[in-house]
Amino acid sequence: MRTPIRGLGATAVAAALAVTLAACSSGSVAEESASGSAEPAAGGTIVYATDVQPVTGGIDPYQGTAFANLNITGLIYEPLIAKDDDGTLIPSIAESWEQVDDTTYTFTIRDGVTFSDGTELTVDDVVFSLNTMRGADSLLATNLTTIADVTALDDSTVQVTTSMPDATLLNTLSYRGYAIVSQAFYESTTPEERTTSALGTGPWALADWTDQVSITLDANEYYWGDEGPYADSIEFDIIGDETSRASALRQRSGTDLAWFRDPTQVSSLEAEGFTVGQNAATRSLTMYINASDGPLADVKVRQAISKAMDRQALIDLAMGGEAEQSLVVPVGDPAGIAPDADTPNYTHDVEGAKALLAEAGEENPTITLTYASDAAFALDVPMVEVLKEQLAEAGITLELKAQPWADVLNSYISGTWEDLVLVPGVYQPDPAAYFGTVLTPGLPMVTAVTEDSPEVALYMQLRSTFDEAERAEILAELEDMVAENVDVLVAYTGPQRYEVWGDTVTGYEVDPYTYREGLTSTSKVS
Amino acid sequence: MTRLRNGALIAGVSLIVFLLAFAFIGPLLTPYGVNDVSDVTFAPPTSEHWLGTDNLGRDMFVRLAIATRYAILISFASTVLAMVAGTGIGLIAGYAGGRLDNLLMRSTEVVMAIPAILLALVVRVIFGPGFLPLILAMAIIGAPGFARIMRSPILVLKERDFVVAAEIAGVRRPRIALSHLLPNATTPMLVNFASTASLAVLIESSLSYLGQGVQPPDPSAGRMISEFQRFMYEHPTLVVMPAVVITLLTVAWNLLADGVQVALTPKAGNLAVPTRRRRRGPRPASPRANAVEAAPAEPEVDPHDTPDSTHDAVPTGASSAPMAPQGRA
Repeated sequence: MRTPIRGLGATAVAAALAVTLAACSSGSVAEESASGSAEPAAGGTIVYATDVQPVTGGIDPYQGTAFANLNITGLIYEPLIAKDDDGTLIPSIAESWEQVDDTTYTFTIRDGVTFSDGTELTVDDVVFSLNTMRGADSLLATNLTTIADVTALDDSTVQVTTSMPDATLLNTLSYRGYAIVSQAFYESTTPEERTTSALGTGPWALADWTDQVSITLDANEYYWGDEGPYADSIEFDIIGDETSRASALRQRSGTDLAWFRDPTQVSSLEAEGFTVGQNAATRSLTMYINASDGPLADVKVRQAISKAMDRQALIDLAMGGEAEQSLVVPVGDPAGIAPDADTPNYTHDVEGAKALLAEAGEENPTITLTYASDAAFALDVPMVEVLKEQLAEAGITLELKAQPWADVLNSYISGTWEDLVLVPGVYQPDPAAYFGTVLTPGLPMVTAVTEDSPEVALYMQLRSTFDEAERAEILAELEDMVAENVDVLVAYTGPQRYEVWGDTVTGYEVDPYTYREGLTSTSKVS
Repeated sequence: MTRLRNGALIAGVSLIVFLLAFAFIGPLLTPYGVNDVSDVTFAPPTSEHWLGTDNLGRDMFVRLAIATRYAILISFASTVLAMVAGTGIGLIAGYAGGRLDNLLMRSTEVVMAIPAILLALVVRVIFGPGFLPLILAMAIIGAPGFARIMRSPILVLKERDFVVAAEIAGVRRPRIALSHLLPNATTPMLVNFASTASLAVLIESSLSYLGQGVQPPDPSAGRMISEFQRFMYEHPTLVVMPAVVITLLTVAWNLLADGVQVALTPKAGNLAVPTRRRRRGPRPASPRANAVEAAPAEPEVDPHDTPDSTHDAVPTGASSAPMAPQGRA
């Protein structure tokens, strides 16, 4: 599922690359308080209505890697380094870092970082964490295959060496799932225990988890950050239904914040005076292509589908305009590029689509699209319905095949779906990561490209290029190439969630990638 | 005369006819296709879109009509299947008796013990989405009711003289079952047909509401409610209209059930349906008004042919010759 760096070894690195990632100046990551003058009130419990609790893997950061899991583990654990809202790397547990050469990095560990039980974080915990997260049992390992060695140089310095230049490494390590754990805690617990217990350095610590009802986090009194947490605890109430969550907010009976997927729900709450914080558009409705057989094996048919799609109409009808056209890297990602009139196959052109189908000798192909029928994906169904109508105009019959999400995911991971499968995407820490499941030949879900495809070579170049400007150029070229060959179809990209809160809390600021870091600076209004 | 006074039957039939007309003729009256999307979203009812449009600009009149068509077809087809299967089970169980009876009836009880929606979801998971699994699921849910309702009168009928006579005459048992037992137990079946169909409408809507019934883009009243719930504050009619369709269809089937019951109760051959006459008070015109009490007093009834009045399945007096049940006025 994650992005292995297969075939990277085969790709020669073209040029010696300038080491541009200079050591960041050490400093506080504390955000500026939203209110400014008034001192936030301490104490109280913030109640946050959320949709799902962590799934398989629970709150073990190396086993539970789904969005739902990260929403909780991201508050308890911290990564070595982090990113600010613009996507710039900032210190976290490491107060500074340096890229010594193409394959060597050193991290200086911050003094005074303490786990929530009061024990001090040591350099050994960091080495242990990095080695465990790239170990065989970790689900994160597929993104860390280039790491060759992790060693402690002294009491506060960790050196990481890679087997080849890997420009994605720092970005990957800044992702909230790549957590630094306590070696003592990790070694004294069983994997099963770790799914429901945690010991991290983050601002919050797990207090209680009532299955499918609520998760309560207490403030970590040993937290190293300058600001917060102000509240004593946060209670995440798990309420699956959007309407019920909205009612919980409206009743003002204790729920302070909630998040939503449905823009309609959100706009009516906004009209009632609630504050809406918008996340970056990183949830791409991505349709993966099975080009191993059937009509989609022909690139002309794939191009015809892309041309037959009226992406703006999809956005207007299915999302009420609350989404954006996007290439593979979501437009909300700092590296994301919006498609324009020159983007191959993105302009709505029914006649062009028909011409391509005629050339391919497939004037009326029937294409199957598998999508999730679960209630949680109900907002994606209108897109699928409109898409069927749009493709029909070009003579393409789209057969809709609804399946439970677990089945959809299985057929995607094993590469056994027919023609098209809709798998909504999430934010990835490095722009190259979005291409992993499209351009890595050998993975079961990758059928449109081979080792010799030009886009694969370009993708490998993207992975090993450190220079930011050069990376951006490669990315733009790669996006065009993928759009030209239609290795994957992106319908549009919308926000992952909308966060909504009333006047019972103050100081909450949305971070674009739904990490909910703002909860630390949030306080109750008494 | 009886029929004229049967308000439930008249109302039920009229409603069904109205809904059938809406479902099958309605879509022909407008130029819009059922899945045609347009820019005109959330339009109020106009002369172009009689019931407005939905979030994708699809014509609600056509979509509701097609949804009604699916609901009628699915409820009808699944109930026919349930009736055929259930009647067969009940007939065999009642007539065969003994271990086979036990086996069949206990099996139906197992099915009845599982909540209907849950059972339907399981069938849906096993066979995947689509109309056929939906119909199959609801047939499985409906069949036990038919089996039980069929078995009761058969238990009584098989002791009756005309059946015994047929057996003595050497008529084969399947033939007796089909030509002597079955025709004499049809009324409760018809009543149960309509009430099972109304249940099927509700189950189909519930499943579709849960996203497991009729699949997009085909319209379904249940799915419309779940889809449009999120627009409820701004566009309440989108939720109300499919709800009205479900209500009308359920009420129509229920009225039909009531009507059929009333229409057939005073007539001959009916053994299993409790009469409603008693509640309405005796009608001087008919000596059979108080059926159970009156039965022995009726001269044309052969006392030997009167079923054991203590049996649970026989609340009414069988006041006619059972061999010619349909012929009597």
